[in-house]
Amino acid sequence: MMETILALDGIKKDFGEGDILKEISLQVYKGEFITLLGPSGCGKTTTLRVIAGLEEPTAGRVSLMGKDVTDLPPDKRSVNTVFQNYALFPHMNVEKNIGYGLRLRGVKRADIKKKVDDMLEMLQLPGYQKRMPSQLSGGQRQRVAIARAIVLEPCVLLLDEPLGALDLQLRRQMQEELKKLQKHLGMTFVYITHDQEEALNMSDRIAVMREGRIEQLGTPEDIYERPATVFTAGFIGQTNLIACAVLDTAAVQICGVRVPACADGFSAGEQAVLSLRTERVRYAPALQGGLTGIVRERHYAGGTRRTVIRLSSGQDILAVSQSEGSDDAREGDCVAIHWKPDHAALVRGN
Amino acid sequence: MKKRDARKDYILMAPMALWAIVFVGLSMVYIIAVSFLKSNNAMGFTYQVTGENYAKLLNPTYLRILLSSLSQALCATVCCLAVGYPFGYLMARTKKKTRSVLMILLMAPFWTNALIRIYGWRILLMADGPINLVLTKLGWIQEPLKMLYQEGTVIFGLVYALIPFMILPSYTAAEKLDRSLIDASRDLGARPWQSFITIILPLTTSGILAGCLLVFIPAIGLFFINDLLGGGKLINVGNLIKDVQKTRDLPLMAALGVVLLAVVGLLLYVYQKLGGKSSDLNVF
Amino acid sequence: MRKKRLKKSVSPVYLSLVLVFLYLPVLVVVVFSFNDNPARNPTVFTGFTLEWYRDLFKNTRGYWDALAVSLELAFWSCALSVIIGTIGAVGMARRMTEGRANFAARAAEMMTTLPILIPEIILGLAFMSMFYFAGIPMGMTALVLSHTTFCVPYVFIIVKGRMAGLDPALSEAARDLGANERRVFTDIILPLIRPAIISGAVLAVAMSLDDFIISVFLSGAYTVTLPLKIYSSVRTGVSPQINALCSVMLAIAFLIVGISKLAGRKRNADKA
Repeated sequence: MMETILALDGIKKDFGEGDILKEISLQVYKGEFITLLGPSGCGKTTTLRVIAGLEEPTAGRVSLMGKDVTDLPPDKRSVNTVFQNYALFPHMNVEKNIGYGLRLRGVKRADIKKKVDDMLEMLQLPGYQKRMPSQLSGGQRQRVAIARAIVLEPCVLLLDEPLGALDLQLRRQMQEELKKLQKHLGMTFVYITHDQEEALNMSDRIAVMREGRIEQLGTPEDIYERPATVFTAGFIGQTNLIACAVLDTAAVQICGVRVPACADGFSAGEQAVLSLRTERVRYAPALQGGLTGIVRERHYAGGTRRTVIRLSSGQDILAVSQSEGSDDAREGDCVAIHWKPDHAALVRGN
Repeated sequence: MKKRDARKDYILMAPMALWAIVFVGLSMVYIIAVSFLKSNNAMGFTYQVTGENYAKLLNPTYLRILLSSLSQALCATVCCLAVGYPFGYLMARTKKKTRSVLMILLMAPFWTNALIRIYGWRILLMADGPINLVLTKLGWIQEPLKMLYQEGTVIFGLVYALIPFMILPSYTAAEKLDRSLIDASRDLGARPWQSFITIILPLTTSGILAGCLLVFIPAIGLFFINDLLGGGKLINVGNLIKDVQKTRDLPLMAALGVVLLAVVGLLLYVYQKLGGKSSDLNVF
Repeated sequence: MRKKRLKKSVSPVYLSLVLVFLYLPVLVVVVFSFNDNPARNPTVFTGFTLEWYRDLFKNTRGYWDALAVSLELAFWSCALSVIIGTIGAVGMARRMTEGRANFAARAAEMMTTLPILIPEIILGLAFMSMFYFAGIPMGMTALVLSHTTFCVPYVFIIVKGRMAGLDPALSEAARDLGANERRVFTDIILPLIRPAIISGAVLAVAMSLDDFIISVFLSGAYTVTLPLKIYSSVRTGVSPQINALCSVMLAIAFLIVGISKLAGRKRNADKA
């Protein structure tokens, strides 16, 4: 039984120009790494600010460790935030920045120093105590911002696109470090990103957000393999979305061809969309029936090969395959497309 | 929580707003009101509404002074623009270090009193002053030039006193100008003067507008330049208003002030219509 | 080749010419402060002397008394305008970040900054007549009230500009780390706007010390500020003590500007 540490119940937020958050309900379990993923403007930052107490919800309750904290100001909540652009105090050195929260709690000077030193040691910034924020690189500022928040040992750490300002390589490295750090501390992380790859890599669970609602909540595997909506399917990974009609619980019809698919929960005759990951598409020279198409384009892309196949309906299907297992399909060839039924997910159109 | 926050902001703003209402708002309302009351010629008025103060201003003497003050201010503004804008532009083109040195040099004289600087010109321009001395020694002139107590000299003094107010906004605007835009226009075939007309000028208009306003407004009332360089013969509205302590006709001077206020208001309106922003007027 | 070199030299030549124009009268005053010509209108340099400085420091003509009046006036106007302007700017900036600067806030801002755009001569006349009506005697009180009024807008604009440049996330971060609103102000906002408050204060002092036009209307018989004193001395002739005084003021001005620049550079070096 997992313990709920943070619960959002029917959160709404209206800034006076329409709802930013329409209805957010979410349970966060102790020690998990949960990511709010969505395009910009979907309300993920607002959700985070509501949790931190920087924004007051128009409706709904926030509770932390079973206690209602909706009306508590940010300084009275045991959650801390790593801000998007770090928000390091420019007039304080690294030591003062990290020790600021402890100082406010009235921790003794010597203890603060000890804790700050430990923190810097852990985050591989030993000896940086006296540096000013402006003397640090982006990655170092990032670490200081994290240290400043986790030194207070919050129940929940909120991270608002913390890697957004870093370049790709540093980003990858920090992703791993953050994940390790979270495991090591056993701390609950609520993480915000618009980068689906980052979300898939790091999270225990992902909440995909869209226009102020949670579209789907699940493990990375759930989200990737079994998207619940066209939006989730399209937002995460590279996907072919193919319109189809449900025939029975085990098959759908595409371009007049019966194709096996898992259609539990759908009724016969219903219009639906089949989400088919590009790397799960297989094709072979068309010998006998099945779903066929014409090869339109072939691109060599390093480790992979991208093939565009046009169905008789006129829709293009993108297939990404390993380039080493070279096939000899050429542009203009007629090929049969197939996939394992559990590699495609059937979702309702919107 | 939000509601209480807002009230706190208003409490913080209250002393300033109150001060402004009493000392700016009320004093302006007061002077406008007084301008419509009958004068008692003893720095006061009787409570009798009248338009006669404005009628008196139509007297040719006053009218001439008003018009000459405005034309003086206009001339000074044009001269400031001609000298100050290129300075601001060229200054923005210098190296960063040079720029900060220039800025110090530009501002430092303004720590000494404006009166003293005008007085310095007075020494220079005297009949037996250094300039005449040098020119005579060089043999360029026989008779000392009569430079003081001329209208041109007064305008010269105005330009001298107010030119920083043209340079600073011009500089600010020119500094914001992206150098690559000029390069791009040159690359596309513009001659230097063409890229000046088509790129530099339109993009620094904000500085020019702000500078003109900041020079013109004080130029209307800088009476001490008339006193020191004009020898008291050439008077402008500033002198007239200042001498209220002698003439004791307060409502008449209030009316004159209101006319000037109207001129300033009109200028601000034009400034806004031409796309000027109030933030450009804050040069410090 | 030559044409190019010529073109390159246009800018420095022009800049220096204008600077010469700016400094010429100041230079003349400084040179003449050492002039040993006892004539009533001594415009010819006859020899070097420090007599006028001696005169000046002996206070034979009351310049020091006038300076004392000016400094007292500058102190009070600066203190009042910094307090009023800073608090107002903080409140206003908070209102602005909320994105809901309503009519009242806008009107307050407009009214506060209006004195920048009103010719001083009109402000002087208006203050004089209103104070007269309200029974406030001409003199120090009237001067402090009027100087504060025209200094507040500058302090307000400078501090508000700095406030607007502050990342709101800094205050939020401090709240998040456990600071209440008061601590956010003392620990984060105040240290970060301190340079702006200082420049506002310096500007207020400079403006107050320099003001002549408004003071003319409000000084009364016994409160003679330095600019008024200077005016009455230079109105008619050339005054060697004034030359000496101007030189002293100029030296102090360069000293202050130099020190503040050096301090600024040191601060920047600390940060960089």
